[in-house]
Amino acid sequence: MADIRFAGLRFEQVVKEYNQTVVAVCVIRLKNWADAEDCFQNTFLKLHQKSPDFVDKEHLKAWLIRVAINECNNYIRKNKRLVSLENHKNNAVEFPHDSMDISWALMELDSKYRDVLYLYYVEQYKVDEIANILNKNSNTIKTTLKRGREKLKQIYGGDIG
Amino acid sequence: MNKINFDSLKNLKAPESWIENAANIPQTVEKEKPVLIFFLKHSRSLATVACLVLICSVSLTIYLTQDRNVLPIDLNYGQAEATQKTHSPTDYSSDNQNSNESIIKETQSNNETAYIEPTEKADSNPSQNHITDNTDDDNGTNGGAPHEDSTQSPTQKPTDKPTTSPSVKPTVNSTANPTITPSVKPTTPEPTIPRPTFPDLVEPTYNDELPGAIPITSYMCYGESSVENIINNQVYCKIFDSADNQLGDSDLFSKEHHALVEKEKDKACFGYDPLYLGLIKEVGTHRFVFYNKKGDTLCEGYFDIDFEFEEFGLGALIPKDSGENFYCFVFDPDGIMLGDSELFTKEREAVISHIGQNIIGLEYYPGKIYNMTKLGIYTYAFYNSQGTLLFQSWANINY
Repeated sequence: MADIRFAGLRFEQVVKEYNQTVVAVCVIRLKNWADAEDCFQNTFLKLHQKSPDFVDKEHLKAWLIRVAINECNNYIRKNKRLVSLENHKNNAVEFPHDSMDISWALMELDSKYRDVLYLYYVEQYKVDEIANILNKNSNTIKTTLKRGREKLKQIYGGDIG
Repeated sequence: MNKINFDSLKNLKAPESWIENAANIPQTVEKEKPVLIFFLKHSRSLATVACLVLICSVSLTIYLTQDRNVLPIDLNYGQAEATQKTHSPTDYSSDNQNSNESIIKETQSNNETAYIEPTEKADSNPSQNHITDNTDDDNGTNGGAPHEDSTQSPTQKPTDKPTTSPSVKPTVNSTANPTITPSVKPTTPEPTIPRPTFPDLVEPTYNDELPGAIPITSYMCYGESSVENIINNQVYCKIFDSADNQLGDSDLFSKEHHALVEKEKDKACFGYDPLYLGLIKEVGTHRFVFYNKKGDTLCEGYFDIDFEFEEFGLGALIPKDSGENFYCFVFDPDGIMLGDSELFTKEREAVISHIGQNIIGLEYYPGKIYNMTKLGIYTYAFYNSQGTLLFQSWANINY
């Protein structure tokens, strides 16, 4: 196959550079390693299949995030009834309870808050950028952020500012 | 480190095997390429499939060339005596049910109107006016109409009469439209989109089949409390503007203040959408308070309103077997369909926002796509890709 480039990167380079982001998005969505693996692979498979043109690396990253979220949503829809509870428990994603590192608290939020808070605090996207990635109105993102922060505060008992 | 952080998430790494497998995708896909081998191996099955496709195509062609109106959707609505297909209101919201049942035969003979003009006059007191409720229920919310977190199209009774005689611009008419895909299955009679009446209030349900259009946690005002604080499943909400003036009906237990309630074991969740009720009149930080029948505060919070109003969200609850792909058609206050004249385009695709046991929730944000600066009543309808009308309603953008 011809050497297709994605924002100047070869396919393997894309996987190497963005695997962390994609796995985090999948894990946040699904909270389960086994499920996340499927969606992780499917995200890169989609990249290979679609081979879109990217303006720059940021464009590529945003595309990967959106596709990963979509893949997770599709996975949840298709497999909702099929996931055995036992399997789910064994593969659950857990972060240590820490007073400073509140990743564990974020995982306890509703999925819609997790996505937005992750993109805002971890990936450092701005509200408008998050709105673009998630295909939502920026006011919605603001409200979700606000509400998510409040819920996060209730969970871990502090303020993330 | 003494600052709150998300380092565990930031440093999360995919297992090496995942990275390896992903990096090998191009090679893996290449190996699966011998299409010719595939065809040779499955020639009999492929031939069978091809025959079936041919037979179906021929049958469809014969069917479509017969003299009948093939368009399931007639967006030149306002035609005389048009009726529409309705869903049997089984286990989904009575908002949908009432919306469909309220569709009456329209007998306007002259004009092509996008919707029936409101039969009720505008009233300055929204609490008496916005819900036509014949039931004795005092628990409901104002479901069925669209709402989303921070943007909203309140479905308060209009203060202005919609413009009459709008022309439905060259979009679709009842004759065959070459842009309609052949897969659109004709349904009779042709649906129209008249103005629906407000749905009756219903008892809130306590499973995931919400009478509202979106999950309760997405409501602009959302709160939780212990179930024991709830009396008779009744929760109310009041709103204060940035100057701490209480908005809406001064009778704090009137229907205008009813919140949606959902219970889970020992926890109760409430949702309330003041935008939907048309209570919000200005930008700024607003405070909300949920309270029970005795007036005891259950919880309170704040929300910000910033009326760019580039968009509002539309939503619907539909039966789960309604199809695979869903589309939303929006008509401006003049009855003009927004967007492409080709019907089932990507810009009209609705998103599945919620999956319940027997229902799914749809969302659509026309403001992101279309220029919706006109104030007034926007009518909208959700269809599946077969052209079956699933849900319709209207929304008043009055600010």
